[in-house]
Amino acid sequence: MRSDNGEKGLKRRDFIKAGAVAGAAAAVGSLGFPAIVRAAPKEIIIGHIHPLSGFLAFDGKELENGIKLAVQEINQAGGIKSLGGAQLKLMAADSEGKPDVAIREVERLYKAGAVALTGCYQSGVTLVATQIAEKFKVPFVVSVAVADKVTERGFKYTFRVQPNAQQMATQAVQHLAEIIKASGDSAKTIAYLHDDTAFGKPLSEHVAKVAPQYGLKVVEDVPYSPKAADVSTEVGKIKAAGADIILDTGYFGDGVRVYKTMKDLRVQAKAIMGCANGAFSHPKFIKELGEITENVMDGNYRANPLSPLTKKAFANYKKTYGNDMGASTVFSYQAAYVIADAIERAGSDDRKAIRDALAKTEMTDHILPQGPIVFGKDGQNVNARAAVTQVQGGQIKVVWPKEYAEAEPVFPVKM
Amino acid sequence: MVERPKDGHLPRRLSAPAWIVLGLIAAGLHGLPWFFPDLVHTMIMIFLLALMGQGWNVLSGYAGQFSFGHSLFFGLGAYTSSLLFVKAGVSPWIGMGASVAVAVLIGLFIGYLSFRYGLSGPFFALIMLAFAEIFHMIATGWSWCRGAEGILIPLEGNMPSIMQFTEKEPFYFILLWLTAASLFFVWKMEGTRMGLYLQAVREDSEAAEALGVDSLRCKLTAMAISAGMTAMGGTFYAQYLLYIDPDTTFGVVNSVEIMLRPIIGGPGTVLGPLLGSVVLTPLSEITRTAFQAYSGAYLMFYGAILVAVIIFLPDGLMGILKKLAGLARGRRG
Amino acid sequence: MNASFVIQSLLNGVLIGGVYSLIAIGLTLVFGVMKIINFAHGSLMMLGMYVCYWSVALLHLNPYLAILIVIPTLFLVGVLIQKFLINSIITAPEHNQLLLTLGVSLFLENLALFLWTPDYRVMSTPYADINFYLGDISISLVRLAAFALAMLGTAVLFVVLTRTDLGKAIRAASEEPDGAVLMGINVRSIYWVSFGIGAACAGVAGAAIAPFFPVYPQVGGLFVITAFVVVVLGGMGNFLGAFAGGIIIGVADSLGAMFLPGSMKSIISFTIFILILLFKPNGLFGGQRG
Repeated sequence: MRSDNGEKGLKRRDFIKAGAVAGAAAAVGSLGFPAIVRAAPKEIIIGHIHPLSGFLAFDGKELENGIKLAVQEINQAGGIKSLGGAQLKLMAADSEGKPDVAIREVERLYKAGAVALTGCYQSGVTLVATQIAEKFKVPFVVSVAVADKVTERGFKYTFRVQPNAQQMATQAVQHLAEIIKASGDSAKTIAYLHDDTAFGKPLSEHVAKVAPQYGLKVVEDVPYSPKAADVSTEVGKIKAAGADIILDTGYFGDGVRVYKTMKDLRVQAKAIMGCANGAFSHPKFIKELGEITENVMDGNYRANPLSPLTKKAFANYKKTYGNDMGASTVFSYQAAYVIADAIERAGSDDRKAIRDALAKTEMTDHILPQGPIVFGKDGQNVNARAAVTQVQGGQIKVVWPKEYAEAEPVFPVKM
Repeated sequence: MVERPKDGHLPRRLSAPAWIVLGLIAAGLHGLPWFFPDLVHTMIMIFLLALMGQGWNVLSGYAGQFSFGHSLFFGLGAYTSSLLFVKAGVSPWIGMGASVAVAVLIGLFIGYLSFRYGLSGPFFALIMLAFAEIFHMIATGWSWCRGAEGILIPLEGNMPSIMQFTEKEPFYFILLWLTAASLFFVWKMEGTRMGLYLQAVREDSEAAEALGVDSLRCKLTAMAISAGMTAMGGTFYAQYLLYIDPDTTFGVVNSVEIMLRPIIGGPGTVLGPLLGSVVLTPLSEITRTAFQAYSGAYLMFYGAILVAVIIFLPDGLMGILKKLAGLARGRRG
Repeated sequence: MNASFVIQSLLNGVLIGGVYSLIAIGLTLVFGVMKIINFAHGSLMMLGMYVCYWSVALLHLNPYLAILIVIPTLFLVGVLIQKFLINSIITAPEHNQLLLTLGVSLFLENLALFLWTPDYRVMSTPYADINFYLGDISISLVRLAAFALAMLGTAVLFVVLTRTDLGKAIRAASEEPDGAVLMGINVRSIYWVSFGIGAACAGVAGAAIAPFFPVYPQVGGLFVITAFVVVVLGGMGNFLGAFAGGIIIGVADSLGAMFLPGSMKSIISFTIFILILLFKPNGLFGGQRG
């Protein structure tokens, strides 16, 4: 009892002391010595903007969890060392999935002193948010947003770790061709079912374009609306096409429904593979649908399963949130580390200095299946790579490319 | 002497003190960007929604034809000028004229069909919703207008000739003046014969017909004004964000946002849309910031406020003001 | 396009159409009696889905048995909404009623988001994986069950409305409100009973699709506008019309998906909607003018 009391007392004293210090610092700041406070900031604010309510709230919350975890890890490991162990402070902003809200929120985070931002999951919102960040000269490391245009506007403050639509589509097709070749099969035709939003459409266009380079051909292309209550006719079209491979792109919720419908209609193919699918390499997909998900493949952005850093991150995530880390969350997690790395190298919380440091990023300690993270002139990660996963024994395993694979691909799949 | 119209409408002519107050407000609003630069974005959204809300108000508040699909005109405004700019390099200033023209034509088409066949009340509301949804689907599915990926208007820097400004202030001033102009227009309209006809049609379409009012023509006029005003807002929205897509323009949620302003402020009144916007836009920002840790809490609150206003203030905020004014007058007289 | 694809597609259209019918029946009842367009109907359906989901997940009930919990719960929610909210604006202009229900819908949807997080939840039930096959055509058990529930729901309501005193009172209040008052019917209590039944219908529809549709807070939005289309098609206030209308729209969407890509598929059903509004405003099967 006594020690308990003592501890409490100590804590309270510490708290009061800390409060006094903070108060003094604030007072000093307001008296006109900002330089002194700046020199060794105790807290560095970074902001994130994701859809925390509305249609995509589920996805937004997951991404937020990834960033939160990364920030917590960085702070526990001693914060930003070049700034005397300064701690990162994360500020959240809800985009509601609306671009005009993102304008307001970028501005709010900027005014609150955020030195770097990350977001926004939806390409449309990201396009607008990065534009405002560019105007305010705040570095913006995109967490997830697949549209190529995000880094095609000559912006100086926009960076993206995640593979863009072109990289993802090209590599998914390339890997698929390699898997087919390695198996000695002769699969050639693809039927592509995809959502008709800004997510699935550009991917499908890229796939149709690059497939012939790898000896494949898209013979049927079926868009569907993720807001449709029933997608059986669309799935029926895919079934009727009788292609060797079925490619599928969609968000999580519609991805689950589409896959279930495929199974109900007994769609046959040598493989059902996602292309950046929001569901097919998500642990919850297996949890919800169970056995029927066996052997589903997905060409998607992904963590490198062989890296010890990944194992640590995954374990931490599971411990903190009770479920497994999804593929998108990997990128919000990684984005926070990229930002911290830049602040560390900049040795400053000046936004321009952080941007310059970001441009010179050459990060090798990361959890992605690629070489060092290096940004091109446009801000896109030049080494970004997609991997192919497959559900095997109820686990999502990376099966391609070989150097990051944790299991052999099963192809063709018996259905 | 001030002419005082019945049932609390704004007076037809303003007294000297009213002019002074108005002048002070105008001066204050013109100085605002220098004193409260943080408020500029919020003010832009307030004016934008007040302008489009005024559009809704003319058709639904004054003429009594309740529209549940004004996102149609908003979307048409945003898409027409943006497509003209990216496809043909037409300046959005001219594009805005085209936006208005397209919205008016489509509005008249829908209006003619609906009013000719005697649709009213919830049926008219639903047909507007249906047309908005059809255009939403076309914009999503038709790759010529860039489909779901939307239109990214290339950033050309500070070029007033193509309605691009690196700063927000020009948008603020343009919208301030446009909103003021829309207020002035509706205020003047109230006093014209057409304005009175509209209200007569709203109160009792058949009785108005019997007195020789051409109700079809009245409703169509209201539709045209309404569509045009809302489309203007659409063009400005597109130029302000420099990015539009089908969901954020034609989406049902915009129809709701547009009509909420005048309904909360007071439908069928000159100042209602502006008043509603002044209250609602900051309210949504404040609650969003206050409740951001809990997803959903903010919109829950928003929903509760909406329910409370409908139940307790059926005539909107203008209703309270009118009652207060009535009390004051009663005491005097 | 081969025959089995077309048959499969139309069959699925009919089955999902049954679900639209069930949702629309509740909506049309509320409209018929109170002349209110209830935008919260989709949210009530969502609540029904959650009640069913939690009954299965926490109480390990059979999902179809859980409907026995869904019905009273949603009935109660409906009665409360009617008594405390809608009742106070029953004489207000139509647009205020519509907005009130919109506010209720916004509230319920975000309450669900707040209470149950935005997670997509898929009900785990062995029924979901059962399919019957006729050659190349497959029929999913759970979809068939949803359709059967829709038929059952319509039949029960039809019997209640035509054979019981309560039903006769509801119909009287709906067709001749003034006359109903003269006949000593308590119109106010008819209102809350009807709204309760309407909400319960939405709840049953939610429970019917929960075994094959992910449950999440915004799910109602996927169905509510379609339900309006169905109600208008069948004639506002007309049950059998709503039932037939649901199936017509289900099939129209399937046909749309055969010929039009992605989001455009609903253009067909919306065009039907507009044509009906203009040229047959009483619906295909007759109904009331608002």
